[in-house]
Amino acid sequence: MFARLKIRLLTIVFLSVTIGLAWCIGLATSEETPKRGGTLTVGMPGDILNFDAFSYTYLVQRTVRTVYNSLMRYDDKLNLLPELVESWEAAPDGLSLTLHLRRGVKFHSGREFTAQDVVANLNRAKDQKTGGHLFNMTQTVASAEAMDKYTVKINYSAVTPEMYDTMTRLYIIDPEAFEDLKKKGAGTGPFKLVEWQPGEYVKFKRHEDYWDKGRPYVDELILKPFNDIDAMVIALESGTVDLVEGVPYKDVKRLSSKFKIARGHEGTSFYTLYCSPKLKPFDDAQVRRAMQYALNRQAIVEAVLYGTTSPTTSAFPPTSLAFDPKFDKYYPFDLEMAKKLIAQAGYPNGFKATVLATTAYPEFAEMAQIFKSDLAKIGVDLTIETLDPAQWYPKLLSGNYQMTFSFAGLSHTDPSQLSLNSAYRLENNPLWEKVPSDYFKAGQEGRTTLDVDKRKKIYADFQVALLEGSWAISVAWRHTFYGLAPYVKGFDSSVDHNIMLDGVWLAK
Amino acid sequence: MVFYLVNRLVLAVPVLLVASMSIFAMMYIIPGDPAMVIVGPDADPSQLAAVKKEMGLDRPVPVQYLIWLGRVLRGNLGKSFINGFPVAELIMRKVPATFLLTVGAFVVAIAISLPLGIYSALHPESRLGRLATGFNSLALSVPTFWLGILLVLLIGLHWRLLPASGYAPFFSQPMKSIKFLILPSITLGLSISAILARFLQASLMEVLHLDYVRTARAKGLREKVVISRHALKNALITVITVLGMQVGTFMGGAVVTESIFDWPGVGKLMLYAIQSRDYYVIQATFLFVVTTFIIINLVTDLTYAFLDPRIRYR
Repeated sequence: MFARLKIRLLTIVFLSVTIGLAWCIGLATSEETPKRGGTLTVGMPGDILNFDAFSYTYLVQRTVRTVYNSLMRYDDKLNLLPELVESWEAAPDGLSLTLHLRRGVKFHSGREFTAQDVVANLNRAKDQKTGGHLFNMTQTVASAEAMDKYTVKINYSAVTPEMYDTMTRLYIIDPEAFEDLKKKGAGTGPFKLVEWQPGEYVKFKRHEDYWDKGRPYVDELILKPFNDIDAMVIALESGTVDLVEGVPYKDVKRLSSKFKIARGHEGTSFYTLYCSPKLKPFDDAQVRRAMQYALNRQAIVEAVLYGTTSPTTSAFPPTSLAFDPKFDKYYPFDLEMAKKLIAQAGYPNGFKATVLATTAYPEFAEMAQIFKSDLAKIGVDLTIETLDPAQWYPKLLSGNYQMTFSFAGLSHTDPSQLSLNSAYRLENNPLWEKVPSDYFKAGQEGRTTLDVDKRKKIYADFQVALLEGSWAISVAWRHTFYGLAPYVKGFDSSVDHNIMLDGVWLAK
Repeated sequence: MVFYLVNRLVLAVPVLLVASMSIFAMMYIIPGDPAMVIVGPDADPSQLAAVKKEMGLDRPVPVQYLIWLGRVLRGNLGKSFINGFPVAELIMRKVPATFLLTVGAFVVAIAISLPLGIYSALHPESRLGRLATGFNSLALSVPTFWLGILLVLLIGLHWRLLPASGYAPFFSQPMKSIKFLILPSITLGLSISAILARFLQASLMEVLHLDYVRTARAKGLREKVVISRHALKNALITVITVLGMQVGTFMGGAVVTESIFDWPGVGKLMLYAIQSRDYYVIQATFLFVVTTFIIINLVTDLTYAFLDPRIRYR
């Protein structure tokens, strides 16, 4: 009897342990295995303006990968990955690029994606009225031909080292929807537009014929715009939304105890201070260099950006081939040197100046406050003028300001892309009639040379010209932070800070 | 009365015309335009020029105004420069939410101001009367945005008694709609209730000293009947004036409240439109607000005649 009891006891223990182990293993694997279903609600600061993937404005770009795919994309280490293009060959002379498209890709309308669609999109990109931010990127595209249903050959009028960058930013729009892009998105992306109520929400559903089989995992996606960033953060905390893009710096640490905070790709953009050589006293390079010395980047990073990033004087992040550590700390914070340079420029008693900020980016005004208090110590009386975005943009485009805080980007991929930012342009630069010749020469050479070692040397010269000219001053790296509810898994963002929701699933 | 009504409606036309010209002129004086918002700060100057031409923004301002006016007279408010939606559709989508918030704020304001105002008028020196006066002062001085944020943090986030933000259409989801409505209604209604209570108190105190009220009391009527049937009607005339103006303001959109509570009303629409220089939307929402004011003023004037039979319009 005792023996039978012993056997029963052992059996019970064995079964319990087995079930317990199986339960734990099941839990562990179920957390890793994406679960299909559910509705993902994403909060965004500001409304979508339209669904034109070529539109430059940030508000369109951040959600572009919801509806569209690009031809290629970069991974986190800037390795090129196939997307709508499966493979490619560049001609040795750099004057043509042949793309082999992925087969069986369907637009949201059900129509198959073919080479003619790539040609149509490239032609649209080259048109001034419709090209948006791709207009400048496609200026060297001489022609594009559909060699067959799935092969496109792009011919260039000049060597274009940034051709792959363009391929990662050319989001393919269904040509049949070109005329109605303001209200309707139509691409090959993971989600299909269902309904858009401007100012309220945008509703999407899963694209059932998405080429990346099995994805997206969620059934439905809702994007909610918020005019007030604090209201957006509260929406995350109260559970109204599952994910937010653009967590303010001040909330990053506080939210990280209850939510997952993901950081966007390093070096995608950086804060800048532009000093216009068009207006006195900034027509003198010594005065502009004085501003470099007077800018306390570390204080700005700690007080305004809450230590979430790092200061820099370089325009190129460590991921760029143009990066050189010696340019990262080119100008130390030195008020004595700043004062000396101002005096040498003919302003021994200082001067009055105005710096612009905008309500769209509240951190600009905060940076300006720190800058103002430091400049006051060397006799520069700085006035801060804060404008709404629609007033600020015309000033940026015209260069009619003494100084303004801003930000720039695109230098994390091909270094020539930096020149797409208006203040860094080689031609039609709003701050110069003609940019300094050393800057122009290096910029031109950099965009027409393919040899990597030569380009490194060229961009070293480019950076020296930029730093000595000091009309576009780097302040600190700029990050985008995303706040995720604990049950949101699989989130990712592209190197260009576009949210990527095809891999997101909800563990609830 | 009919003649009076027709006269008022006819007079509204020049008001609307002047209003439309003023806002059109103001929009063009302010720097920036929708083309710049669409192309972004790094656009090539030639791109910007091309987009402006496409939108018709390169034409002289008076020509643009006349083109717009011509369309409006044919019932076409145009399309949004930014998102391409017909402007009329955009506004009509927001009106139910704005109307709901207006009604909610109105209910809160009346529910607080009526008993408070009447009690303060009847017992001005009592402890409760003084408390009511103190409450009025507090409600008047608390900024709307501060109150809204406080309610969101405490009730929405900390205690989780009500949703912190959001909206649901009333007819399809009534219970959910009311839950979303409570906090923004309190935010908007509280300060208005203080104004209404003050006006009601002053007005009622004046009316209570009139001969006809003394006569009513002398006839032996109960105090409740004296107040509700005789005194209140006359006292309400001033209150109705203030209420009419406030309702007009709410229908124009309570921008701050709508932003805090993510309420999709006319105010938020106008804010987005101004920020993105969406000219046609700004024009149309502004005209909507002016028209609303005109109608509400008219209704307010007609209500006087109902409250006071001595008032007659010819």
